[in-house]
Amino acid sequence: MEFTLIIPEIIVFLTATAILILDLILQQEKQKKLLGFAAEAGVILAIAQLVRMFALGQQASSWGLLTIDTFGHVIKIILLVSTGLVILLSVDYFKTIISRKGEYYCLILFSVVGMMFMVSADNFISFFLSLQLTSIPLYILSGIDKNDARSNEAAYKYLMLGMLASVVMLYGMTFIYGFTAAANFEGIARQLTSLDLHENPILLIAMIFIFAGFAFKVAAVPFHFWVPDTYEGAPTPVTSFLATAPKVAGFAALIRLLTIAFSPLIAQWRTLFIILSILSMSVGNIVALSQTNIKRMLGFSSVAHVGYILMAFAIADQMAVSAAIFYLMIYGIVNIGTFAVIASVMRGEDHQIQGLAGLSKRSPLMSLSVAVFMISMIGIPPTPGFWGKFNLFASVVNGGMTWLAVIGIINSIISVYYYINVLRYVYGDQEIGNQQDKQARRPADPAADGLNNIPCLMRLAVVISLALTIIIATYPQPFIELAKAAAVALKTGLWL
Amino acid sequence: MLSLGSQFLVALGMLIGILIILLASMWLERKALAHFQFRLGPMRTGYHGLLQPIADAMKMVVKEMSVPEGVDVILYKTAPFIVFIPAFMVMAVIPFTATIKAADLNMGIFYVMAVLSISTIGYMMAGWSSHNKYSLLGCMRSIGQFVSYELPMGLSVLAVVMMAGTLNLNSIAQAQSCNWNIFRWYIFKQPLAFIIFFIALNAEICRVPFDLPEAESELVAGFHVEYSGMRFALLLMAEYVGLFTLTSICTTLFLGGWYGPPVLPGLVWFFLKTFSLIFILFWTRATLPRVRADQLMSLGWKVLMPAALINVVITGLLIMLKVY
Amino acid sequence: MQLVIFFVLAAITTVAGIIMVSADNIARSIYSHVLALLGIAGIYLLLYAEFMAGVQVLVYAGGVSIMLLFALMLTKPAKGVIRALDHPRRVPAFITAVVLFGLLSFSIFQAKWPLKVEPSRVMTPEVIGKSMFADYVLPFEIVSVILLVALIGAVVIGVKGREDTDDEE
Repeated sequence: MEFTLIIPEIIVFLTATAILILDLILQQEKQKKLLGFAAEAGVILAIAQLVRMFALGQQASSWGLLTIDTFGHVIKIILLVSTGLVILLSVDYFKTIISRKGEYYCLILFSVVGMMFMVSADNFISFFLSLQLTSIPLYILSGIDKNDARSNEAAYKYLMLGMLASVVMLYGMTFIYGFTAAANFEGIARQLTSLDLHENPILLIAMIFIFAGFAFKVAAVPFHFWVPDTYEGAPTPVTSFLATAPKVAGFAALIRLLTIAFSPLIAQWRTLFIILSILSMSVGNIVALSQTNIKRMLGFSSVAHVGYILMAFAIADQMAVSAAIFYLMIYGIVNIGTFAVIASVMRGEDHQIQGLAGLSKRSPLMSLSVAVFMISMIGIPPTPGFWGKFNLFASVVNGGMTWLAVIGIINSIISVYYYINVLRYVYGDQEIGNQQDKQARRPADPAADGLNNIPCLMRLAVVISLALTIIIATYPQPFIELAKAAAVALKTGLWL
Repeated sequence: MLSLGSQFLVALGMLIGILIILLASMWLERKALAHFQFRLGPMRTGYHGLLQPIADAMKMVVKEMSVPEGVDVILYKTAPFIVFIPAFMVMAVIPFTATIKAADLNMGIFYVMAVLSISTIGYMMAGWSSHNKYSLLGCMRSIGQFVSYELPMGLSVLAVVMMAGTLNLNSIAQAQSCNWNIFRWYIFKQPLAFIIFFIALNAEICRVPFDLPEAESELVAGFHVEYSGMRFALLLMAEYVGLFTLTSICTTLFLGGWYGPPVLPGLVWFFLKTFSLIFILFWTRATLPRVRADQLMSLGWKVLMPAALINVVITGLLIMLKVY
Repeated sequence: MQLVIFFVLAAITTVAGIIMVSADNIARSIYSHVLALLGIAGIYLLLYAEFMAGVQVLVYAGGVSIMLLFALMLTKPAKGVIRALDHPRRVPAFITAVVLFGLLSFSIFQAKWPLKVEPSRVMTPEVIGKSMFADYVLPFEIVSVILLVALIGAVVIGVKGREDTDDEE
């Protein structure tokens, strides 16, 4: 049967609908925790099925405007792992904040279904629709804390700019379709080889339009303006979701689109991605230096990470793509871990970096995690961040763009300042000055008095991300192999 | 394909035909209502008041068309046309007999649903541009009513379309062709769909008991309270045109169109069926009181809508099992 | 003849579009939106896409716009002077728009479009239905999930939560 190919997606979808119904049955607030566990169970089930499909190692097969291949399996596993962590994080975080928990989990899962389809889409139709299925829940999720004005602002900005980006992208797609009369990626590639770009500058414009949409989704400069406000305003678990899953899915879809549909135009888009990459790295890192709000800072740092990953597209050979996939894995886990720590120690606060002061005394586990995650983001050995960056820069040098790698390294050095700045607060003793007014503020804020007893599920989320980070740090090889397998599985003309 | 000139002539003929029909149905309504209430109705103009509608029409035409102060003039003046034109456009696809029809569209019934939805905007324009609380309330009510009854109507049509396997009204009628065996009509195979369609039809043309948008006792006259003269006449005509077109669609869908026992010609059968439906509508008007707004909504969403959905599912199953 | 009709429809659509974005009165801008959509439906008819035209009228002109109007009437009207949709940076915006328009129209006219004069096949509702439920069943289902999600989202945003009622008590 053909639909067995999309069983993981079906599992996630059914879980989401089941949660909607379960939400109706469970009346008491205490029982609502079950919804989170149900979501978690669905995600784990889907991961298990994906792992099974990956282990079977079937040939890539197409059905219903999708291509199901190893590349998709790997990316979907990354997606689902990060989603699982986000759900784990949310169960306790939203105990008080939102009343509509059922809808919350269900929206996250629907968004993940969209992402999973997006990763597999090999056709403009299925791609664009799954992109919408991904985005619409995200708009709502970022505004789910209705009583928080910042959350509303986050949702509004994200919605407005996101819709604009989607429309621009769709406009670009219509031009491509007008030229090639094909909506599936391979058909487009076939037609594009016979077209002369110099005679048809509209193709270049169409491509730029499509990339603008992508750049918005993954938050690359100059399409990053929604990032700081949305990251700051959205509830922290939602931010962690926003910062990881859609980006992973967006990059995966971009990889598929570039290496298959646009492979004949590689010379043109390479240049575009060099520009995007340099801009994102530099702007992200430099603006992050001056941030005092940790969520905004992480937002800009994620822009910088996007810049590093985009370097891989400037090379776009098999090594670079597998390095990008590997980097995405690490980026996802480390980012979720960081946000998990923030969510567990900074509930109901305004997320100033000073708020972390003295964390090492309050919670050694959390401060250790922060240290590991921050060092990993910088890319100091032996953290996974190092392996990720090492692979990435090596592939860039290998592709003959040493100067680009040098820019990347300079940027990594700039980023040391603001990551270490966080650790300075966590392990430093600046807390004495702030302690007084923190004490005064705390009783007024009912959510904040649980600061010293972090709920166990949040702790679990942090520990799992920490464990994964350490595992990748110690045994990077299997994960690199996984990324390589994913890249090899792509049916592209660029490296076959 | 007809030439442009003859197409124009056909349209003109349709327009004149519909004018005669609507004058007739106005007269019929007044007389029927009167007799239901043991009155005589108009008796003085012509034989049993036969010329009364013409006199009324003359009065409308010569009346002054006042434009109240504070209205949104452009919208106020265009609204009656937006209401009337779609109602008239539906006429284009009605197959009166196998040969008397203006257009044979493949997506006939779909076209009807699409065109009807435009006139809703006309009601909205009329009510909103009048800057009058009664007309605004009236148009709000009408929109709510249209939206809630368009869905069950569409779903009940869907059941018929599934059985006939076509959207073409002509083919749907032909699928019910019969001589004496009138049980081939879809009303006998789809009784539930017929009932739903008929109720929704009643609501779509805002007649008692669903005349909330123009409830005289509550809203003076609803969305057309500020209109006078020919513009008012257009709005009124749109209602009667809607009455006729929708009942004739109903005839085509459920009562076999122009088919009937071969004692009468097709055209006569068609008008006989249509006017019987119209008569039933007058009858309902004379019998039933007006529903409340909440009753209207709950009937639409909680009764008709599920019933129509179930009907579609059952029809699908029966077709799959080859019962039909 | 077709060309004339096309230009008339295109002019209607464009003018309606311009009125839509520039009208001070939001109700008027919605009505001109309807007109623009109807113009597009006419262009579909010109391309022999009858079914598309029907869907366009039914869904957009008849459905979406009515919902817009309905939502408009349920909201409170703005008090005082209705502010025009202006922005201090409208000069740069105008320049950007003109440049983009110039660039796009230049490259559209420059391009060698692979034109086909005749529609490839007749798009009857049957053909559309069959391809929608066979080849394109997955996108079709995705659309339905998108609608479900939008519905849930509307409920999440629109319905008063328990937080709100707590405040009132």
